[in-house]
Amino acid sequence: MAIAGLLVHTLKENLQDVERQLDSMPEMTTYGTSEDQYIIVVAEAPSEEMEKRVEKIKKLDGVLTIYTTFVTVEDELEDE
Amino acid sequence: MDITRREFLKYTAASSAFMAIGGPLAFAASKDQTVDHWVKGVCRFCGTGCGVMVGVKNKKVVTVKGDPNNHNAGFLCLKGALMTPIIYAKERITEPLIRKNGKLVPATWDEALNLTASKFKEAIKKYGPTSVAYYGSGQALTEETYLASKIFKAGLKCNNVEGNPRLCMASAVGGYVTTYGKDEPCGSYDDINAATCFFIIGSNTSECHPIIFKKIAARKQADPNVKVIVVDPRKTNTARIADIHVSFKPGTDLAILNAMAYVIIEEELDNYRFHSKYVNFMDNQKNKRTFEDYKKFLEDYTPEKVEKISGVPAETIRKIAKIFAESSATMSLWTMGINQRIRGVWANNLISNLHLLTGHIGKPGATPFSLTGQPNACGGVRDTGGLSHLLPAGRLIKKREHRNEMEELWGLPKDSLNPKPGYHTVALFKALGEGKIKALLILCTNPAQSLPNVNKYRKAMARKDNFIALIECFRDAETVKFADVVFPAAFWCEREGVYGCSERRYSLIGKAIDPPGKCRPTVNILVDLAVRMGVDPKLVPFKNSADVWDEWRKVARPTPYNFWGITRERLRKESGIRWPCPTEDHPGTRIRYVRGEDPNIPKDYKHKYFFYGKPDGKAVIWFRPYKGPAEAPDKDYPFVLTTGRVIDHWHTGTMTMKVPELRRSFPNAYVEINEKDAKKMGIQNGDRVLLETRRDKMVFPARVSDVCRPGLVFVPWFDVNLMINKLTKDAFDPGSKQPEFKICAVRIKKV
Amino acid sequence: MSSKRFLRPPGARPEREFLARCLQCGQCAQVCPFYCIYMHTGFNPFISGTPQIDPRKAPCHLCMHCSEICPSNALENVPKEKVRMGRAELDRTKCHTWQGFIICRSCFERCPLKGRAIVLEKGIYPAITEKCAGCGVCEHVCPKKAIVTIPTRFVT
Repeated sequence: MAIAGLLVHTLKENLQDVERQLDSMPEMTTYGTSEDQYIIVVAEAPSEEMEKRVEKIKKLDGVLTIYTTFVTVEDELEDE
Repeated sequence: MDITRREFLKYTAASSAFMAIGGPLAFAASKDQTVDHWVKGVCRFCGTGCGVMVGVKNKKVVTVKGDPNNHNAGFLCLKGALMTPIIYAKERITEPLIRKNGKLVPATWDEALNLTASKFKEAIKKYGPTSVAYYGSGQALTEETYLASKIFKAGLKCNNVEGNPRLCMASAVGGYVTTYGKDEPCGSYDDINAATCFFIIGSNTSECHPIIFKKIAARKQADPNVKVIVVDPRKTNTARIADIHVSFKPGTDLAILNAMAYVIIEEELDNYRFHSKYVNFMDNQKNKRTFEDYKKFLEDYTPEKVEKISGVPAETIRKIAKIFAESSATMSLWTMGINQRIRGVWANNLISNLHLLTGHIGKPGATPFSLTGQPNACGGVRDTGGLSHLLPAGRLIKKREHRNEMEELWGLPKDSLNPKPGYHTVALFKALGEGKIKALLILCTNPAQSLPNVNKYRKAMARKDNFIALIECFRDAETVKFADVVFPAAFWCEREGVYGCSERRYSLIGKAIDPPGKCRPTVNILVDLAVRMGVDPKLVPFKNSADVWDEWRKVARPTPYNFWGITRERLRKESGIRWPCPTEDHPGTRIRYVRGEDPNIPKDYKHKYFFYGKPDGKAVIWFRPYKGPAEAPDKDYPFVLTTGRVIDHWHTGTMTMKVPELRRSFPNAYVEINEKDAKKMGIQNGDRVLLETRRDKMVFPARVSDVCRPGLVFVPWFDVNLMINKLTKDAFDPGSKQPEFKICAVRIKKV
Repeated sequence: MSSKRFLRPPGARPEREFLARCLQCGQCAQVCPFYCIYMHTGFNPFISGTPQIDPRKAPCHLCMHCSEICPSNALENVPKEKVRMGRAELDRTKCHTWQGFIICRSCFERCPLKGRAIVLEKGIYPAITEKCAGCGVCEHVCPKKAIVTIPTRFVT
């Protein structure tokens, strides 16, 4: 499993909506939002899946950009 | 740890995202599970008085963290967080020591106590009670200072009771007493969260009071309209967050403060209603004058005239005066830059003048507020009267009615207390050098490093015919070299006691662990010593510090200090309470001198403000003329030398130098020089630079930066090997007797 | 560990050029007032004898005496603001201040380019700017070992 810390920047009016949708996605945890419409998200996914999921978030209504702040794939390496 | 690796990684991922949007992170995830129990306490270092929690495991202190319920809300600076190694330092003294043939050798408690008692008794018998003295500290517990002061003043009839707060706080006391009639600030830390303008003068809050600085920075962050004015000849980190940093020729601050008052009146920004009702105008000879006289007095201090004195552009003075007066709530903060001056009391008065003139007082966020340098200078020494001219709770030795009051409370015959104030610190050590003091008891302080012009006073302490007893924890403290007897004391959380910080807040340090070896709590040492010295045992019927606390509460009860409601039980439960606090259900006082806030003022009092320290209830605006430093730079000594602290060390470094992390970050003292001066003299980082004053010379490694203004050099005073106090001057304020550490003339040379 | 991560003294030319010029004379190590430069030992004839700095042991304080004295100009005499020995990286997840309850400012206070290479965000949180010379002082003093100085030759 890869674990990634993400910052999702949204439009003001879509903030709550996006947060709800993120919460409903599997293996996606939100840790709150900031005043300037950033949502703090931690995503867990097999590393080959990760990119796809991030793409999916990008396509949500009102999402401006996604910043990746942290990625670890350590566990996978250990598994091998 | 009960979190899994996956959870940990998720936290890490989330925290990285938090960081990216620039917020601090306070995860409970790292909760330490390995501690048996937590004991509440107060930080051992600066006067901020942060609450701490001491983590104990297997009867040993393993960690220290911030107390979330105290004013610091769980925050600590690095010094406070790294307290543990100090407790277990290998330099701890664990048994009594007696000097024999020039060497300190272990002895029993009886030997050490009997020897000390006999020396004191002998001196009193031969030379009278003024031949002995006590030199205390703003780091000793409140109970310890109260007790020592009582033993000497009531038991031995000796008023030579001094303490290192004379070196750091005396001018602030003088300022408060002359302006408001009573010592201690009227505001509290709560004001920081309400102020819209911070006027910081003579204080490097960022390094010396990091937690207060954090509050100020957070306040500024929360509201972009908050203005910060820093008046300091050094461009410290405090000055870096300022909207306006005013750099001036060191020692000209009195002129600047008067010029600000001039501008405030000229621009009609003074609060006429306030100062016509609650303020008296007084000139230097204590004659009552009028507002018109004050205006005339200030004509010598127009910004244009002061520009010539101070080097600050008149425009800047106008600007800061306007910001000061126009803000909705201005809070002034100051420390040693104002206090350690030959006119420290006047400088304190002048800051209060600005507040009284504009009415920026007694409202949330609007207050003059002096910061203390030591954890217990306010609560311990100023309040308990641990100085040579004071009696407990703001009473004066000079006043007969105050003496009589204390005689009654202490159960002494009427008029039995010595009516003559004792030596102040500089005079005390001078008298020691002249052989007038035969026996001296030093508690919890390190005068062999901290006195100004210290060579002179080290010679005094080294005299063979005087006897110095020391109550100390660490054998490498410089003063130990001069001691004839050393008593090992229980350190910080090894005994229970109360500290009182800058904002009149009393908090309890709980006992977390047992002291090592034969160490004993200082209260017990003092009681034992007093009895052996022949002090009436009825005067010292104390088994522990809690007993002393109860008496101290009783003694303060009839005064405006009244904290009868701060009982030991309450202190154990709550994280600090601010006096006045007359009853057990009183929550403590945020603002003094205001009806409805201060319990000393009747609820139905006819005016809103009542400065009850003054006979007519009015505070005073003083006409204080400009006076330069005692030793201004000249042709031979063209630079100004100033001293101070660095963030990672505290005072003489006896404690902080024992922490590897702190030691690594500042291993030795240095001289800070401005880039322009350095360029002229070809000095680069690390070059050896000779500093020479009229008293001594010494070589320091250089640090070249833009912090000092040209013509100014700075040396921190924590380093025992490079003792800058050998160079400083021992001129002192004639009012407060506080020495001028901050300014002396120096010449510098690359070697 | 640190053998690969050493820094070159301030003013060092790009690694290839530096190695070509360095005479391995050791004068830089002699002149250093902070005793931070030491000569590499080992069997690799190209690197052995060249000067290096391990910031964990003793960092450079940018006094620039070494680059003044270098006879072969392997260390170029540049003003200290232009030095790029490396770049400090701060791990915010380790840093006391960023993690919350301990206000620490050791790195900021000790930085030889005080107020320029390390700034305090919001007056509190240390952050490293592009002006960082990579001298390693902050790495040396950090109580949490949250700062690592990456030598320029590894920075892409």
